[in-house]
Amino acid sequence: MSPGRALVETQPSHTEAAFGESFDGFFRREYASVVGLATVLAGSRTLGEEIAQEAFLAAHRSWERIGSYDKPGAWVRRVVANHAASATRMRVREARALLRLAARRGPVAPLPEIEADEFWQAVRALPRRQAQCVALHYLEDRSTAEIASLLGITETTVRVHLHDGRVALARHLGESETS
Amino acid sequence: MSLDDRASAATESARRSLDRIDVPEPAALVARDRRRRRARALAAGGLVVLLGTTVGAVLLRRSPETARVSADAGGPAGSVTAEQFSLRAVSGVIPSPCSEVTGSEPAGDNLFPDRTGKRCYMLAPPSLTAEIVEMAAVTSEADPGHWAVLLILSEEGRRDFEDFVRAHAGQQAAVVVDGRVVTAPMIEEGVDSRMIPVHDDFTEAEARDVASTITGLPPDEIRDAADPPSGPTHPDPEAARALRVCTDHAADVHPAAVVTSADAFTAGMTVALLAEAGAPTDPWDGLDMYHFVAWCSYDLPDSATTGTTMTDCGGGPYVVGGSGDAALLADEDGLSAPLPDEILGPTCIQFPGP
Repeated sequence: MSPGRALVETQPSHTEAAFGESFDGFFRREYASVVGLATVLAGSRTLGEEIAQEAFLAAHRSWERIGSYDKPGAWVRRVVANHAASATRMRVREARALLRLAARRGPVAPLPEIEADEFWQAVRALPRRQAQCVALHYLEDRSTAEIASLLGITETTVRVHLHDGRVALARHLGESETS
Repeated sequence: MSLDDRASAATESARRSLDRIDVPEPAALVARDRRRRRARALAAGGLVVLLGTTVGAVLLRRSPETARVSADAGGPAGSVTAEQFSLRAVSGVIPSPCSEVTGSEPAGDNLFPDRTGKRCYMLAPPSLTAEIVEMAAVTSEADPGHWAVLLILSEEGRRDFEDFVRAHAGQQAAVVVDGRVVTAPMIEEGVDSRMIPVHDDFTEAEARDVASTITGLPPDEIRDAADPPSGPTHPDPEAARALRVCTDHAADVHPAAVVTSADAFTAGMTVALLAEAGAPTDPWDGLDMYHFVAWCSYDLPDSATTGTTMTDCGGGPYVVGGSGDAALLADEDGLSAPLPDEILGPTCIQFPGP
């Protein structure tokens, strides 16, 4: 098994912000991609956009620091990955989504390619860290080193999570683990 | 198909779907965020006021000589004029109708009748207008049968009001609503300006009319601070009890806020309450991530009580006031999101068990 193997040709934008980049430019470039990560982990576009926006706003509030010294793309993804994969937070967000529904405001159009897809559903069923690692590995095509730095864990731990996650996914989906 | 092929197909499809996502305007998002955080901070401020004192901690004390009412409320107005609502310093009071002074009524730039029309106030130009008011509610909690209008001031409004109080302490002020002086209290210094009760022995209808004029909302949409949220139910008795406990106390958290309950999801799960300061015409409008100024949790699982914030709350039903998001930011291990200083930390209020 080779967890680091790149799977797709089309690469998402991984370019980190230039030093001192404006929040606007950063936001516009990264928004859809970050929503994608959040939606993969949270299971709904409504929640995904909410979590993503919250993370971007948190970055905006500390933009002077995050925009200059940190890697804002990684920072926002770490916040999103942690928020979207947290059961406690998800319940509060469920509440919010529920309240929105009660208001009969039309929910945003779903993303069935993520929400209803069997593969992503299986990813969401994984333990939190495994789900985060697998989502970053596949959806974002991140290397183990990148995932490790992004989530603040060691590369070895990432490898273990990826391995365990892939074994569980293969079992769940009835696929062979390797091609 | 191998797992990697499967993953590759799912990834391709997921990425394509992201093309359908409209990117919001960052400036609009940030502006909305600021408004919400302000409303939330304000609501948390209201919480402190209510816990520390009673609603009747009156800032504008009822003046004995103000009289009965003629309750004609103006219709909803998009923007409230100074004629419809203003706070002005009182220069003098003439114990006769303004019409006797000027020969006509309405009386003019600086002469205003009281609510009976029997007395005429000479007022300074408006010191404060409806711009200072974020929202208004009515209450008779402090004095059953006697209604007051609670004015929740905006952050800027609060500063303006404090300036006004400092400048006019010890003098009489007049609250002008719809061209009439509804109350003319003495201005006291050192009072809390977050939530101003305007007392003048109103009936409920009068109080609603006054609040309606000030906010431009229809009278029946003015919230009664003491109204319990509409009764939520749940088939599971434990969840139903949790809902009752939470909603019973929701008004304590922020009586003037719109408080409503979500349905319980399942027994033992979080019961969320929404207390949104502002936008009382449609509490749902714009409801989004920062609208939880208060939420009520019941019987949180162990995983949630190990965090820093949650542990302080102890077990059982409680309301986290101030900011659900602050609690969220603080409750999880490994999360490096900063907790911005200006976000008020959550406040735990322990409620008695069943």
